[in-house]
Amino acid sequence: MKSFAKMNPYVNLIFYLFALGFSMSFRHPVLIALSFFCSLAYAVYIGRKNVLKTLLLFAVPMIVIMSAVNVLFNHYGVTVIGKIGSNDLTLESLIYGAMQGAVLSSVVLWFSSFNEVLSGEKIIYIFGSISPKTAMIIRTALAFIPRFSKKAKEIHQAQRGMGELSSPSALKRLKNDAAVFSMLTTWSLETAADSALSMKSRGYSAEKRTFYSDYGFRFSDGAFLTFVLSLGVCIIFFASKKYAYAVFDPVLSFSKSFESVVMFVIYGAFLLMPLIYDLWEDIKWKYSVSKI
Amino acid sequence: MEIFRVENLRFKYPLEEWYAIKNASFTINSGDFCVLFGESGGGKTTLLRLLKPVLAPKGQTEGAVYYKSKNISLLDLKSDASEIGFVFQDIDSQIVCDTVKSELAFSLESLGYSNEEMSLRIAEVCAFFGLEDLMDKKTSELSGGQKQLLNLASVMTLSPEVLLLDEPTSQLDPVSAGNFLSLIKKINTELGTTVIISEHRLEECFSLCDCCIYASNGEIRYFESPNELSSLNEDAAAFLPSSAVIFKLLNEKGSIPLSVKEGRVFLSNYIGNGIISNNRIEKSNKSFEKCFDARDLCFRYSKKSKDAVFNADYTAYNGCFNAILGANGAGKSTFLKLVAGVEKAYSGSIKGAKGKNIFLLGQNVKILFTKETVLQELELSCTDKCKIDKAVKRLRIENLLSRHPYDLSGGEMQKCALAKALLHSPDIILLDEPTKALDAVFKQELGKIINELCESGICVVCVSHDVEFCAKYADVCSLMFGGRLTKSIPANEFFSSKKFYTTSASKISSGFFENAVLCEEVAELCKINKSC
Repeated sequence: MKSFAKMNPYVNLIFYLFALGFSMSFRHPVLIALSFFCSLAYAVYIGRKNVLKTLLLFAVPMIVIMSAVNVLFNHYGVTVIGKIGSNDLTLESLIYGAMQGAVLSSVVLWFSSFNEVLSGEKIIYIFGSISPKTAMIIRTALAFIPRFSKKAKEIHQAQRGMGELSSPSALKRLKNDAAVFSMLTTWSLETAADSALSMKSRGYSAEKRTFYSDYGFRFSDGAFLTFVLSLGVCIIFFASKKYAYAVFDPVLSFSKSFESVVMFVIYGAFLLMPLIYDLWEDIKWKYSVSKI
Repeated sequence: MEIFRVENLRFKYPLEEWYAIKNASFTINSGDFCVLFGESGGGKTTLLRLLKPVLAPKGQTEGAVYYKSKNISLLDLKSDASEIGFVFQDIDSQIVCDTVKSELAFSLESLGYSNEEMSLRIAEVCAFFGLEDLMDKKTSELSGGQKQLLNLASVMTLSPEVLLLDEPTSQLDPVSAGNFLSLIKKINTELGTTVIISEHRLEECFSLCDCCIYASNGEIRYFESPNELSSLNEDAAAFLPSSAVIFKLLNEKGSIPLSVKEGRVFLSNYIGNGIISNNRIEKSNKSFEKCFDARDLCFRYSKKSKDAVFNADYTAYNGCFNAILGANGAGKSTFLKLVAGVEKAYSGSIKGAKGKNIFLLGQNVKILFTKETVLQELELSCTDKCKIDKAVKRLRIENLLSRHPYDLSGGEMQKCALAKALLHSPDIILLDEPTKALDAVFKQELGKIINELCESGICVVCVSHDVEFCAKYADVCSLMFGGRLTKSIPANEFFSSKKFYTTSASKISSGFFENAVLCEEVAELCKINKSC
C-alpha cells in the first residue's frame, strides 16, 4: 500500500471528490489533458495491473467513438472537413467529441486508483463515522455472504454423497435443487436468529453505539488536507473568473491569458499531489532503508 | 463471596407439560470453575441461559436467581452485557462482523466506548489470547478453532466477571478443544473470572474444576467438589473420565481419581506390591472378507496446493467397523470423499467399489435434510413403506417422525441420517466424525447401532478423532497422517501399541497391563491380579 492510501479515508475521499468534480466540469482542452495524464500517471504508479488494458480497451476507443458520433450527429462549427449527404462534418464537433471521450476516460482512470486507495474497510469507516449502525449492518451483511456460499456448497456435496443429485430424471433434479434452496433459506433464518442472540448478549442496543477504527488523523493528514482545500478553492476561484473558458460553437475559442496559465499550473499541481506525496515518501523510505 | 445463588428454581417452556428445570438450588462463589454436565436435553443450556437475563428463555419461571445478592431480573442491560459473558455452541453463527478487528470491537461499540479505550482493550485482549497474526484477517478465513477463540476473545474485551460457556468445544477437533479449555483455565486462574462451562469432553474438564453440576431430565445436582462424584449412580458413569470409571467399576470408596496421573497412582496402590500374574486380555479376532481396495490414491484441491491425500493405500472389510483415526488436516475427510466419488483422485484406483451402493454422511448431518418432517425426509429417499418402517425400528426413531429435522438434537439427527442411509440399501456407509456433537449417552447408542449395521454385512468406514469411541466399537483401526494411511489392524492391537494416540484407560494401565484399552478390561485385570 502506498503512502497516500494509508492516509485518513476522509482526506482520500475529499481529494477524489475534488478531482472527479473538476474533471467532469472543465471543458478546456489543457485542463482535460492534464486530468487525463495525471490520472493515468497515478494509476500506473500505484500499480493497478490492468491500466494498460483500460487504456487500450476503454480510453482510446472511447475517444474515437465519441469523436465519430459527435461529428456524425452534430453539425455546428465553421471549419468543414468533409460532407455526408447535405450534412457538413466540422472540426469543432470532432474536437468536442474527442474532449468528451477524454473526460470519460479520465473519470474511469481516477476511479481505478480510487478503488485501490479507498478499500472496502475505508468506505465502512466513512459510513461508520457518520452512522455506526449503518456500518454494523454492512459488516453483518459482508460476514454473511461467504458463509452462505460455503453452506450452499456443503449442502450440494452432501446431497451428492447420498447420490441424490445424480438422478437421471431432470424433473427430480429440479425438485431436489428447489428443496436444497428452501433448506438454505431455513438455515439462513436460523443463523440469523442465533446471530441476533449473540448480538443481544454482547450488549447490542444497550447504549448509543460508537464506532471503532484505527485510522488516526495525523499531522501529514492535516497538511495534505490543507493543500487539497486551498488549491481546490484557488481552482474554483480561477474558474469562476472564466480563466477556464472554452467554447466549441461556432468557433473554437479557449482562454490563453497569463492567469489561465497560472491556473493550469495550479490544477496540474493539485492533481499530481497524491503522486508527489507517494514519490516523496518512497524516496524517504529508500533513504531510511539504506541506513538500516 | 457468592456470585450466583439459585433458590428453588423451576422452569417450564410454554406449551410443554414437564419442567425443563426441576427445583435447582445451589450457590456459586466468585472465582469458581464450575463444570455443568449431563446428557443433551437434560437442561444444561436452559440453566445457563437463566443465569443471563437477556438470554433467558421465555416460559414460566418459579424461584429466583440472585446475582451478587440481588435478584438477577433487576440487572440492567449494560451490566448484563459487561459483567456476564456468554459463549455459544455454534461457532459460525455467533460471529457477527466480517473482520476480526471489528468483531473484537463489537461489544465495546455496543456499550459506547471511546475509540482510545477500544484500542487499548483490543490490544490487551489480543496480547492475552495471542491473536496478533489474525488481526488483519477476515472472519471467514479462520479455522474452527480460531473462530471459537475469537468468540471468546470478543466476549473478554468487556472483562466480564462471569463467563458462561455452552458446550464451546463440541464442534472442535481434540487439539483445538484442548487449547480452548486450557485458555478458559488460564482466564479463571489469572484473572479470577468465574467460569461456568457445560461440556461433554469431560476427560480433561474434571481435573480443572472446583465444583460441578449434573443435569439430567431437569434434575439439577450440585457437587461442591469433583471428588464427591463417586456418589453418582450408574447412569451418570458415562460422563466420568476413565480413571473414575475404573474406580467405580472396582467399587472403591473415597476420593475419586480424575486424571490419568491420579488414575495411575490409584492403580499402583490397588495392585499393591503383588506380582502381576496375568497382564493380558484374551481377544478373539474375527476375520473379514475384503470390500474395497484403494491403491496409491493422490488428490489435491487446487493445482498449487499440497496433496491432501498422497499415495494412500487402504483396504476396507465387509461386515466390519473400519475406523480411520488421525489429527486435523491429515486428509481423513478428503479420503472419504474420494471413496464416495464426490471428489476425483488424480491418480490411483479404488478396486471393488464400482457398482456398490455407497452412502457418505458428512460431518454436518444437518445439511442432509431438506424436508419439513423426518418422515417426509425418509419418504424422499424411498417410497417403500415397509422398508421405512424397518429402518425406523432399527434406529429407534419412532418418536421423531413428525418433528422438523432442524429441531432435533445432534444425536437424534445422526440417527435420522443413518435411517436415510439405510433406505438407500447401501453396501458401504462412510461416516465422517459421527460423534462430533454427541454426548456420552448418544455415543454409546450410536456405537451399538453401527455394530448392528456391520453384523448385517454392511461395510462401515468411519473417520474420527474420538479414540475412546473407536477403541470401544471399531473392529479394525488405521491411522492417517500427512495424507497416508497405515495398515488396518484390530482395534485392541492398534491402541495397546500406541503411547500418545490412545485411550485414557490404556494410558492409565500401560506398564501394568499389556493390552487393556477399555475401562472394563482394566477393571477385570485389576480384579484378577488383586485376588492373586
